[in-house]
Amino acid sequence: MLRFLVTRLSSSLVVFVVIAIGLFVLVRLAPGDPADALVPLDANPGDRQALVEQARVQLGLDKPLPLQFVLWFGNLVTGNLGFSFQTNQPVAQMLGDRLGPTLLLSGTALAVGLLVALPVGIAIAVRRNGISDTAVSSVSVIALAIPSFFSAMLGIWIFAVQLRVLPFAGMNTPGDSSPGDLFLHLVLPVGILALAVAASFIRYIRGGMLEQLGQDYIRTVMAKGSGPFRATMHGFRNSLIPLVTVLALYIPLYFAGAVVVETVFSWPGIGQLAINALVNRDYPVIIAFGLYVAVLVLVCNLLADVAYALVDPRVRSVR
Amino acid sequence: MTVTEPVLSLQSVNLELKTPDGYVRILRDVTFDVAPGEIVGVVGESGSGKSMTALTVMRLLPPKARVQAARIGFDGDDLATTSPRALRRVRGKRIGMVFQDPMTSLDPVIQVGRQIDEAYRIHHPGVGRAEARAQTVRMLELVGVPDAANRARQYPHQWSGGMRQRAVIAMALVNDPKLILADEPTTALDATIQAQVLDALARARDELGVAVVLITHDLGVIAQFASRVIVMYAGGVVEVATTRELFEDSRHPYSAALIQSRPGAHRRGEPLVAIPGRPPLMTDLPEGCPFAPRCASPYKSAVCVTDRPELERSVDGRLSACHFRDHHQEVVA
Amino acid sequence: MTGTTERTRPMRPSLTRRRELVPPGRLAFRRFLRNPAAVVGAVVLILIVLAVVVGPLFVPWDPDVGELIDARQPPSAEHWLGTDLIGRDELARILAGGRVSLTIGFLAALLAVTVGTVVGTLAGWFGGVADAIISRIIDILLSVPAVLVIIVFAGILGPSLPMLIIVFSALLWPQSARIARSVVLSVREQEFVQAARVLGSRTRYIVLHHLIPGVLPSVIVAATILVADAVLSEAAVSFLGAGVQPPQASWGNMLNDSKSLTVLTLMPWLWLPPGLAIFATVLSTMAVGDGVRDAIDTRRNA
Repeated sequence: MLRFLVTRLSSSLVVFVVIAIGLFVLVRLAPGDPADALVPLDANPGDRQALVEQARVQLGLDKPLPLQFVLWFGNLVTGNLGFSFQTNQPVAQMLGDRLGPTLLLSGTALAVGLLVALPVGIAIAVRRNGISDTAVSSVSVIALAIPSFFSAMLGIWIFAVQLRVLPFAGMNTPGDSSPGDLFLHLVLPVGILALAVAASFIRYIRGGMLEQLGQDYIRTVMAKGSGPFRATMHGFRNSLIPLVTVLALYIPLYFAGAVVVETVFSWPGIGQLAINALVNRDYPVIIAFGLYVAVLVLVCNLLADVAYALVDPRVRSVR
Repeated sequence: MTVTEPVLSLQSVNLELKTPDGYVRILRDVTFDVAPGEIVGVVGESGSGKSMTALTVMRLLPPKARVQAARIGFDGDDLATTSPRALRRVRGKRIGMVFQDPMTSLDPVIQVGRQIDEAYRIHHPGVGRAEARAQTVRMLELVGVPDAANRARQYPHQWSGGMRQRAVIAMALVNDPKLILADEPTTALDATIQAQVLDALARARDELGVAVVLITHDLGVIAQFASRVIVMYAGGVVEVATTRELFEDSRHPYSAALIQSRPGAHRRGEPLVAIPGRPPLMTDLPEGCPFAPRCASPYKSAVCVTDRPELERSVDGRLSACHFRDHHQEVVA
Repeated sequence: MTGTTERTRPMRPSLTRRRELVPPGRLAFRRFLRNPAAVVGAVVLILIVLAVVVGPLFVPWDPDVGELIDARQPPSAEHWLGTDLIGRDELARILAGGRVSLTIGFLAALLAVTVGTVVGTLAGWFGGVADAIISRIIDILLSVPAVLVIIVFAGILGPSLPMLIIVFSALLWPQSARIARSVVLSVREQEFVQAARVLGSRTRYIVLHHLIPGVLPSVIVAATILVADAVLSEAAVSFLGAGVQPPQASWGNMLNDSKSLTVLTLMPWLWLPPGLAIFATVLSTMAVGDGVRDAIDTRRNA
């Protein structure tokens, strides 16, 4: 088990370095000269050439590419992600400031979505093809077909514009930092995200449960004289094996959904930061965002492996 | 017949299952008794309804199954009229069940011992873990699992097929039932393991006095372990006899053909005999005797195609569902 | 099938014999027609495709250019869906945007399915180290969110249509590869393939004549899901400003123009139609996919 984790961890590190190289090369391929971009356009044209050269040396762009990469990567692992072109703030700090709100939004949405999906998915699997199953399955398909920005706009239109019961944007009302205010601001974005999470997980849970409830061991459990609830719980424990893997692997996809929702709701998270950087071609921030996505994906993959091993005794003992 | 009250008594049990094309009759007037402490074999080809008979007794049927029975007498109760809730107190407590494939009949993510504990604790609500485990280990030892206390803490994938089947048998025995329904318990196992597992079952019968319904398509198993045999074909019972009677003097052409076609009956140099044709589809049963299309009896006649024979006694008291039950004495010698 | 006359067969409770003479393709088609959701989905999808293909011929307005004096008009006889903030006809933009959205969706799905089928088939067929490596890549790529990758690429290289299609197909192929792989793994163990191998058929022949036909039905289903996925993702990235760039219309960026509270509150004709267009396209594609899957599900056709 430990050896397995070490191999997986080292292969993840390799992938991370490859992605870092890729991002580094990509930026060099990008149109425009970062040194040129650093020097104000209104600088004296005569001095400008010199200033650009100075900036180039300052940025280390005069050194050979591999060396540049090593220096850049060295900075990277020590937590120095450079400075934003736009605000001159350290990128690591900007990212750090935004991480909290993003985790709050996505984490709450994931938790709420799962809390809804688990009982509902299990219940409709047990009563498969009944009215509740048909209804819930239809609703979840519909929910999956609505783009999250559209449902977000619908949500704002209904709850913030028409009913005026919820705020339409932001994380706080200015000057009000009470938990109650934060909660009100969370309801809509979390609801929109959780809807997508629940819709897809209801389908997974239902499918997994249906497969397990048809297995022979369920009949054995029934033959012991257990009631339907106990048999369902046996099936649920087994359906967890594929489920935790899917859950871990899909976390990055929900974070992608969170970017959209953050944008619509002006939520001060990483997604909003990335979209700002996109609009302003703020390379250091974009790269940091790319690395953040890479880490997210790799960590969740590792998480999937560990979770898989934790719930499945067959994997646990073999490896 | 036995003088003692039978532990299980099926009388005209009928079963219909729902398919995409409507209800299909799977069991037709299945009738037989099982005496306390005896091992009764149920033989027949795949699809003859042997397993469905056991599942009907336990009422472990697919959704929307329809059961109609004159009586499913068990230990003083009529299971045909017992409520689903009350049936749960019969399953696993008074009737244990052993399934065909030990590789899939245990929950893969729960320790073997835990699964047996569960069977005990379901029916003994006040009992603690330690007491349940003691009973589990006792049962595992009874069915021949070495180092039972430690192995109980392992997961099913760490057990071999034969050992797993012993665990399933231990699970069926853990509440000291009156009856065990063993549905092809050794079909999925290697030949050498088969005998050991069946020995374990026989030992349980000897020590606990539990009756066993041994469902199998292997007549060798029947010959070795069962005292009486129920032969099923196309969802109905075609013959009931003691094992000796069946092998030496069967009264139904299907039983006779089964005995002739088994590999053990085959003598060197002679061609292997197979029953020609296939069992009929349950959706498409012939009007008369369901075995008529394949029947090789010299007595076969027009009545076999028009009238379905019932399971009735012959002149000398044997039970057979053949119009010519009184004529078969000499056919198989 | 080989003749197994003497082997006892498990009981099959279905009455399939009277259907045996109908070719399987037509049988599947009939089952598809009996699925109301799938049929409605197919009709809606055909209507949408028709509308965006021939619709612009009948709309007299330029989707990319508008007159400012026409701006912000509600739906009228002249502008059926009204006009946007700079006076462009909303209907013309919906149709033009649909062309872009559907082109990206179908093209990306087609590319992804082609690559995925080939890679998955090869991985399943050859197994071993190649399979292990490909499977690992599939696992990782499956959890890479296309929308976020596009944001990074667009942020560095600038947004472009080819980039959208390439990134989508590069990230969506693993789904069909995984399906193709599992089908191949089961197909290669089947008797006729084993027989072909024993008879010394060349690998290429087996792949072309046995594997690809075996894989195709499942892959078609996967493709419909990919179309839905790609349309949704395109809409998301264009909405975020990393996809199709104005003045060119796409369903996603039309919503981007309307996320201000004023538009949201006062001009629902600007954001409801493109949102509903995406929703209808994705939902009908998924319904068609489900219908095809149920229709070709061979377990029901045993």
